[in-house]
Amino acid sequence: MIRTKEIDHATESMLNGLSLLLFGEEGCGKTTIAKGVKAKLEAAGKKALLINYQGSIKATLENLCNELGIEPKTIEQMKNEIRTAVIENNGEKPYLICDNAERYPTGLRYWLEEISSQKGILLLLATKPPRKDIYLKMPRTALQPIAHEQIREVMRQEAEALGTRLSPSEISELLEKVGGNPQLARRAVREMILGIASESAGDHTQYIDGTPGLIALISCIGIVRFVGIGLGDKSLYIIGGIATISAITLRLFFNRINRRETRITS
Amino acid sequence: MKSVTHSAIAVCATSLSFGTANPVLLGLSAVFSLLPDIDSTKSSTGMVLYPIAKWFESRFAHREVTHSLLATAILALALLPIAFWTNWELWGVLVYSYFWGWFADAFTLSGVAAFYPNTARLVIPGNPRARIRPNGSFEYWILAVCICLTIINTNLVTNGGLTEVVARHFFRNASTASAMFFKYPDRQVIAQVEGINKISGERVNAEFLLISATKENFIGKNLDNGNLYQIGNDQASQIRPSNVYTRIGKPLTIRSESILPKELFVFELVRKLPANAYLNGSLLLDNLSDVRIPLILDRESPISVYGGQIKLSNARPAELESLIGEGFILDGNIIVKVRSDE
Repeated sequence: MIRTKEIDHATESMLNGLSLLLFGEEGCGKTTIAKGVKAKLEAAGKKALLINYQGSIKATLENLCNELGIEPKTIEQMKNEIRTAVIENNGEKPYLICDNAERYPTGLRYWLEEISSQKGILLLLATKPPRKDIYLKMPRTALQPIAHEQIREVMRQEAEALGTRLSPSEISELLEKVGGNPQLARRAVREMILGIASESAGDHTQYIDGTPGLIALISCIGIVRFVGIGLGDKSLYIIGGIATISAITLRLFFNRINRRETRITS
Repeated sequence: MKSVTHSAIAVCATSLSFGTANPVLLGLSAVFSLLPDIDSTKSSTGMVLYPIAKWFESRFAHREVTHSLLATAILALALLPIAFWTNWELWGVLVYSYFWGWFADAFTLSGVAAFYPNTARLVIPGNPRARIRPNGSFEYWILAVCICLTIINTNLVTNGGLTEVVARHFFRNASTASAMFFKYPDRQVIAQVEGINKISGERVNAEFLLISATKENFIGKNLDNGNLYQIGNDQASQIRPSNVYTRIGKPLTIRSESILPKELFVFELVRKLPANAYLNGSLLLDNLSDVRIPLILDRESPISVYGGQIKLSNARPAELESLIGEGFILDGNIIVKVRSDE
């Protein structure tokens, strides 16, 4: 089981009456946390509602009404009745767990913000939440990449579920592409088993672009020029000049090739 | 990235940064650049050191802990005794090669966990489409460029290094020849001089063997006629050069000895000296008024009268005997310099 620590922490916060926003890259285990927290709250005898917006506010609210035993009506009426149930149901008020919260349209966000301001307890899980309204107001925690041991276990389980086994060497090679992301780990295993393991970079976001550092370092070679002036060595001066021009050329080159392609490529 | 590419990059970087063509250092550089790949049993290093590779493989991702600044720092500390017991250059080459062994992987698709324990991967450039793909043709280009750079730099190093080669080709003057003379006391330094003899007005285009030098000019022996000339842009020089190309000649040893001749004839002194010696210094003669030294203007005068004494400036024993052989030395101070190439 992954993300147990985060599940325990989020559950405890909610039981103590505190709302929380957890965010992390796609596939890092947010839905696992949402389901885990719901199960734990229910095990503690609490009511928990899992909101999973699928493109329609009305359908989302109808699902919540069904769980609360409310008769679905118009959107505004459903909003009012759910809000009342969540805020005013003393002792037994349900907790709201909002998965994929970055997808929520304005109407749904403002409604959740209103609930939050009236002591409703929410758990928001989002990928790259924008710096505005409800996302900005809630206490937030970034989800860290999962430890290698757990990712290895995820890979082993996935391989076993597909009826095969992976060697430590294969797992080690796959690990560098998944960046502590369980969903990517499962996908990498499936791609390997299907024999379509791509030679592309991993889709995780745990990358640091070292280009600016490299350019800065190359530019520093230009210092040789000034050393040449200081020592009265014309040769060093010329070499430093050549290095400076090379650094400027490389900078242009790297700036040019660093324009990212955002589409999925081979 | 292939092992051979790793080695080629590290050898090239070592050769350029340390300015060395030492085959032992470059060989060690090639070996140490492969060490970071000890975290995979499929790599050549991993196959040789299989138990260690297996240990790393079962605990870390590929290109993680061994491909980091942390691992480089640990290796640098572990190898520190080499710096104390042998030399800093060897230690520097080993650590530097290890660094290049993993840093080159930052240019590949997956990058490296350079800042481990932070597992984020360092990549250059940020655009994955512009990074090196495994088994791609771009890797062969890198390999070819590194081999070419290594060959060029080895050639430069054996000719005195980049700065010297630049000076010899771009600054063709007497100062460069003088600098080479001081840099290579154990080699012949030969200057191909084009210019003009300021006194005679003759055009000069000849090779000169450097005998002595100051910062701005040098005394050179014309390899055609054996005469000495001072070559430089100052007033005292006989030849004003317009182009001086300097090259290094054969290995050379110079033996130098200081003598203090007293109360003996010059011809007696000359018999004690090697025929190929160069004499510098001064002699106080008993009968100086009888001495007649011919005035030489268009070349360096090895024997002259100065301040009531005979001044010797790269004089030959035979010249000394022919001009003042009958002179009686009251006192003197001479440095006798013997070159192995004459």
